[in-house]
Amino acid sequence: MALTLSTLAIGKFDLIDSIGGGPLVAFLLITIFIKSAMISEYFMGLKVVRWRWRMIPLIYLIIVCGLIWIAYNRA
Amino acid sequence: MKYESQGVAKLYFIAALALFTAQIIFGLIMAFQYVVGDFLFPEIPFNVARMVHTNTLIVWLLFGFMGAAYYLVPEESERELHSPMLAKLLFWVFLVAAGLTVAGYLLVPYSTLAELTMNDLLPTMGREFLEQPTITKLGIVVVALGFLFNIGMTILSGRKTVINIVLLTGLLGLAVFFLFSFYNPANLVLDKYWWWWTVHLWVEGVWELILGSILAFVLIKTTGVDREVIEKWLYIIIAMALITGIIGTGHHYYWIGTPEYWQLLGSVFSALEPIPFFMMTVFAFNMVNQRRKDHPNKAAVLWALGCAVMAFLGAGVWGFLHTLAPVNYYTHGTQITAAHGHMAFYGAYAMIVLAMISYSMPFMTHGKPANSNKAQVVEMWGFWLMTISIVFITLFLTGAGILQVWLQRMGDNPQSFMSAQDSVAVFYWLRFAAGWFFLGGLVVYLYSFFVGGEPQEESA
Amino acid sequence: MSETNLTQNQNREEYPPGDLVIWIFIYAELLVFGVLFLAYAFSRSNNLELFNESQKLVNQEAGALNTLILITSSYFVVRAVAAIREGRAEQCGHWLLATMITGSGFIVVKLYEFSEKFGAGISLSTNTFFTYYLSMTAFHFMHVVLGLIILAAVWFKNRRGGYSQEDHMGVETGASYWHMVDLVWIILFPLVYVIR
Repeated sequence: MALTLSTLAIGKFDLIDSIGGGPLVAFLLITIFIKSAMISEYFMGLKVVRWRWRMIPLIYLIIVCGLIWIAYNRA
Repeated sequence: MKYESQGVAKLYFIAALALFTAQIIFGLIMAFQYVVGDFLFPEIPFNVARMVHTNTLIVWLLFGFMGAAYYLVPEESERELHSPMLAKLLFWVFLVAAGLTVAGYLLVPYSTLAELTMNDLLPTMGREFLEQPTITKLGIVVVALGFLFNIGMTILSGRKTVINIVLLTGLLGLAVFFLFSFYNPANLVLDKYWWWWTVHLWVEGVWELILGSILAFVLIKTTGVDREVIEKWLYIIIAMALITGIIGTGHHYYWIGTPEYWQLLGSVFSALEPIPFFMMTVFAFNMVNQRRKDHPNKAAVLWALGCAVMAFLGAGVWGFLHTLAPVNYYTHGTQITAAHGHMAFYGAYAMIVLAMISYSMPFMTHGKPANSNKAQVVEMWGFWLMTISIVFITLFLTGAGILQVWLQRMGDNPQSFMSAQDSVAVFYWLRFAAGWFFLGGLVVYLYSFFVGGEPQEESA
Repeated sequence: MSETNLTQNQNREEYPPGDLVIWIFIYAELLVFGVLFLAYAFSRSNNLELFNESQKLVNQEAGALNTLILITSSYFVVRAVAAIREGRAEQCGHWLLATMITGSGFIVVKLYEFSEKFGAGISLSTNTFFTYYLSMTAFHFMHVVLGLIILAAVWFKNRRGGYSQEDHMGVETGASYWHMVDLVWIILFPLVYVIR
């Protein structure tokens, strides 16, 4: 739970980003992944569930974030 | 049959099957006209045959849905129908109206029919699938209202289950969205825009609720799986059907003069329309695998499973093929659409009505749960013949469609419409042949009702 | 039959919390949003300038505020589930109420944003960016509303003593759905409001 609060702080930082640039976007995507993964692992309680169910949101997040990254670099 | 009034369904089912036969015969006539253009001209020109083919389809499905509702609702509500008399009266009204309308199509030119029926007072004719004269449309509204009243009163004063509430919602939606057929603005874009509210929101919206509830009913009865489990499935299936289907209307709004954002909304949401159909397939097979009893009516179970699979293929997969805006840019209004239409209507709606008929007819004819083994074998032959034929019809039309798109809309020297049609004629011949097999399957299926033999009892 | 299998899975739950059916629904919903996200990302890469220009007009502060609100709200519902697992129905009710209040806060902020956009004459037809922006946020908005309705239903049932330490599947089901709504927003916000 304490970790969640620290990602909240990062969410705040997102505000000032407008200088742009790949590394910052990569950083944002990673925070998306961490935040969302924490939601699914801890909040949704999938951490204690069988892999089959647990993996679905994680794989989903990897695919979505990965493709957003590809799309970003394509531009 | 637990309640006597369920028996009115039999009338409806007989009329449905008769119209189904008429639909197939006119389908064959058209299939031949595709390759021999002046066949039966000027008695039955192509446009008239097409009108009869599509209108009888809609009307026999409506007869089927009504019959299914009259059979299903008393059993679910655990009481007799509110008024069996009204059900019988409306049946004859609807049948006579349908008969007169088809006769009108065949006997007089369409414009004369429009004059005769005073279309100029409230012009609603002349639009695909909604060709019915305005007075027929009014008749449909009267029948639908009477029917809803009858079904509604039965449900409201009886036991309310998820199945009959979903069914009632679907039927209510069917009636409400039909009202858009009376709105006929002069602006062609607006006309088409609202036209889809009837056409699309029927087949990809509220009809899916009807389909889902009838399928759930047949599965509960034939598998003995807990109602609670089946109801949960029904909930998510209809939720997904509505989420994807309603905004999915946008896939008709790509190129008709509507705002551009429909290309995005239509593509995304309609791309997901296969999900509820996929769930339906998983659902049907799961329930049959978890069955608590072996119902003697094997044919009904076969129809139910077949319906789930073919609906997924026809509506889901074949719909997805050409639903994305960039793809549809090339395929719009080609034989690909026809391929999708044939398999989707047969798989989703014809088969669910046939599944319900298969399940309920034994109760209504001899009071036992299943026909003799011999009759069921014949019925299953009908199933396979018709289903395999429709698969081939779909494949041939898909072949025709792909070639047509290639010749007519791509490449350096696109051909004109008619010369492209000539080039794909071989597929039309094949489709015509497959059509005969379908008719054969239908004859075998109809024959199964007359096989007789010793009906089967419920096995413990 | 397979003794080893059983022991292996002893510390793992067979199924996710809540009704399995809601999970199928959640995964289907994630798929819907996933398709929207990717469509956005690729459309953006084709119309970079337009997207960057238009993005300046969205209210990042409101979006960030809503992220905080939703995560907090999600945390409250975690507490609600924790409470009912220990059989404390009253606390569970309080936490659910807190969840709904914060959830409504999201609605208020979002409506303010929408009115701001419509007031500025922006609509679905303005340009591709706003087609995406408005349809994605509106679609998510409808999910927040649905989530609140589900939570309200759970809250009412809880108030009538419908849940206990042994039987609280409904609470978990509602909570799981609410987390999904949160999860989607966590992706949506940086993607549409921030990344440029």
